[in-house]
Amino acid sequence: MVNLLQLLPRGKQARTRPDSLRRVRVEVPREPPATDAVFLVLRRMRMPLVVVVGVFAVMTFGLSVMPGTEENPEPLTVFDAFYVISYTGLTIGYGEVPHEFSYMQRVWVTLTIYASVIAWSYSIASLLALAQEVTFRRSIQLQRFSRKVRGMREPFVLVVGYGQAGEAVCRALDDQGRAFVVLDNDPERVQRLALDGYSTDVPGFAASGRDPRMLGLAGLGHDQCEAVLALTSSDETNLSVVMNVNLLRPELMVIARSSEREQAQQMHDFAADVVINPFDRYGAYLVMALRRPAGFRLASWLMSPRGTELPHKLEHLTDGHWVVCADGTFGFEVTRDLESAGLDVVLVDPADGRPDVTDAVGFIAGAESDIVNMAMAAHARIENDDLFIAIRQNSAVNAAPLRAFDADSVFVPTELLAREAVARITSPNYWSFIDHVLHEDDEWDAQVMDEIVAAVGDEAPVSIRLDLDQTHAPAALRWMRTREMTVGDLLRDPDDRETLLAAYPAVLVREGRRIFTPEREMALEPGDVLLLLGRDQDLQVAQETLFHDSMVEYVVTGQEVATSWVVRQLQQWRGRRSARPAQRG
Amino acid sequence: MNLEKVVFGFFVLLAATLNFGYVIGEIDNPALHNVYELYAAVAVNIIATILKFGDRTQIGAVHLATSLVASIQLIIAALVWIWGSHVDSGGLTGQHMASVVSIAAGALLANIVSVILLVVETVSFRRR
Repeated sequence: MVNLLQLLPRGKQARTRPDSLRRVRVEVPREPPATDAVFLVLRRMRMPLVVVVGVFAVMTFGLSVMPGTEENPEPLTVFDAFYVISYTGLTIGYGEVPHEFSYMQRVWVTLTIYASVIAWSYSIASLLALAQEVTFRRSIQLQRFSRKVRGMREPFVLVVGYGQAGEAVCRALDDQGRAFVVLDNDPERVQRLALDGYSTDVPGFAASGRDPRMLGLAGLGHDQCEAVLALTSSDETNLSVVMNVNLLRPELMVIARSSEREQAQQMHDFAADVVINPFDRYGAYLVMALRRPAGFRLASWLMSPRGTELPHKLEHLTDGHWVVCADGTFGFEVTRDLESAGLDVVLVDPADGRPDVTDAVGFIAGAESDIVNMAMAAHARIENDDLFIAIRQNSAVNAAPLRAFDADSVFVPTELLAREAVARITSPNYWSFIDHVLHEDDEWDAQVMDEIVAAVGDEAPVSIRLDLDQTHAPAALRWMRTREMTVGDLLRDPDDRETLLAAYPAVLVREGRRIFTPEREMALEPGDVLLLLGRDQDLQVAQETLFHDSMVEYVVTGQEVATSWVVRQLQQWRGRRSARPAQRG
Repeated sequence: MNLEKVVFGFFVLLAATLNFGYVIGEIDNPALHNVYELYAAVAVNIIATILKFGDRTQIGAVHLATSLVASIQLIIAALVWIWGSHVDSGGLTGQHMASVVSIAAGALLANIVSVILLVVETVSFRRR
C-alpha cells in the first residue's frame, strides 16, 4: 500500500536524475542494528526485579502472620506489615509500629533486613554490570547519535571516513560554518572527533559505511542532508556508499575517493558526481604545472585552505627525461599521465635499489614508505642538483622532515583529495570557476590571477554567493527597478565609495548561464547570482549593502542619503529645488 | 521444554487464578473475600508484569499492557481496602468491600485477556 505521506513534498526538492539506477522508490532504512537501550535494560532487569518483589512479598506475608506480644496478641494487618517491611527493607528503620513487637516478629524483621539487603545489592550490581557492558553502551551511543542527527535543522554533509582526508574536509567545512555528520569504522577516530575542537558538537558514530541502515541513521534519509562524501581508504566501502546514495537518495551529491580504475568505473556506473583518484590527479596536476604554470598556480591556490599564500612558481620544471620510482598503482598512473604529456619517462621499482638520475630533469619518489622516498630523494639530490624532485608523503607524521628537505613538490594523497572535495562541495559556482580556470589557456589564467591578487591580496580568498532577489537583496532590487547598478558599484565601500572592497567578481549566473569574471561595468539584473571571492569582512560588507537603500544609492551615485524618512524627503525636496534653475538655464 | 516459558506461564496463570479466587463470592460480604488472597494477587501480578518487560514483539507489548492494567487495578483495590479497614472510622463496611471487589473484578478481566493472549500465542506457535 502506498503511504500517502510519502507523496507530500519533502524539504529538499527531489530533482529527478536520469542517471539513477533506481526503479522503485524505497525509504532509507533507519532501523538500528542493535537493540534499543530501554529494551535491553528491561530484559536484563527482569530477574533482579522479580527477586526484590519476591523478597518483599514473602516478608510482608510472614510478618502479617507472626503472633504479637501478650498485650497485643493480634498479628499485624497486611497493610501494617507492608508498611514495616517497606521501611525495613529499604534499611530506613522507624522502629516498631504500631506497637511493640513480640520476639517472633523481631526475628522475622531481622531476617527481612538481611534478605532485602541481598536482594537490593543483587539488583544494583546487575544494573551497574549492564551499564558497563559494551553492547549496552553502544546502543546508548547509537540512540544519542541518531537523536542528534534527527534534530539537525540546517543543511549538513555526511562524511564517511574520518582519516586524514576526512579530517581535513571536516576542518574546512567547520571553517565555512557548515554542519556535518561523521561515520567511521574506527571508534578511536570517532572519539578524536570530540577532542578536535570543532566549533559545534559534531555527531559522530563508529560504524561501517557499508551498512545502509547506519547510513540511514547518520542522516542519509534526512531532508536536510545535501551531500555525501565517501572518503574511507577502502574502495569497496566507498563504492558501497555511492551505490546506496544512488539507489536510495539519487538527488544527493556524492563525492567518492578511489584508488583503483576498476572501482572508479563502477562508481561512475552508479553516477557518482565526482570520483577523485589522488594518484591519477597528481600526474595530471604535475603535467599542468609543467605545461600551464599560471593555471596550475591559480587553481591550486583557489583550492587551498583560507589564508594560504599564493604558491611559488615551480622552478626548473622542464621537458626531458623523467624518472619515476614507485610501486603499486601510483607509479603506473603518474607514468601514464606524464607520457601522455609527451615526456620521456622511465618507471623503476624501488626494490631495485637507487635509480640513476644523472641525465634526468625530474624525479618522482613515489614508494609506499616515506623513509624510502626520503632516501631516494636525498640520493637524487646528491647526484644531480638541478633535478626537479617530487616526493610522495604517505603519513602526516613525516611532514616536518619533508618540509625541511624542501622538495620541489610534495604529494600528499589525502590532502589533494580533501582540497578537491572541499572545493567542489563549497558551492557549485565556486567549483565551476576553478573548473573554468583549469580549462582556460594560460594567459587568461595569469591575467585573472593578477587581477585577483590586486583586488584581494595574496592570501587564498573565501567565496560568497550573493542572490539578487527579494529576500537577499531588497534594497538593490528597489534601486534596480528605476535605475542601473553595475557589478563594480557593488564592490565599493559604503563608507567611502572611492575605496574598493577586497572582493573579486568571479562568476555571474544569469538565467542559468554562467558568465565568468564579469566586467565591472556590467549592469546587474534582478535574479542574478553573483559569486564573489575576497576577504571575509569585505564580502560581508558587500552583502550588507544590498539591504540598505541609502547604502545602495551612495555606492552607485556618491550621494549621501539620510537614513531617516523625514530627512530623506527634505533632501529630495531640496534636490528638486536646486535642479529647477539648472533646467531653466 | 523451556523453563522460561514454564515460569512465565505459571505466573500469568497464577495471577489470573488468584484474582478470580478473590473476586468470587457475594460482592459486599467481607467474610467471603480473604485479604491474603488480594495480597497474593497483587504480588503475583507485579511479578508477572516484570516478567513481561523487554519483549519487542507486538503480542509482547499487548501482554505488558494487560498486566499493567491488572496490576494497577489490584493496587487501587488494595488501597481502597486499606482506606476502609484502617483510615475510615466506620471500619470495613459492605460498601467498601463492594468497591474493592468490583475494582478487583476489573483486574480479573485484564487477567483473562492476558491468559487468552497466552493461549493464542501458544496455539499459533510454530517451531521453525
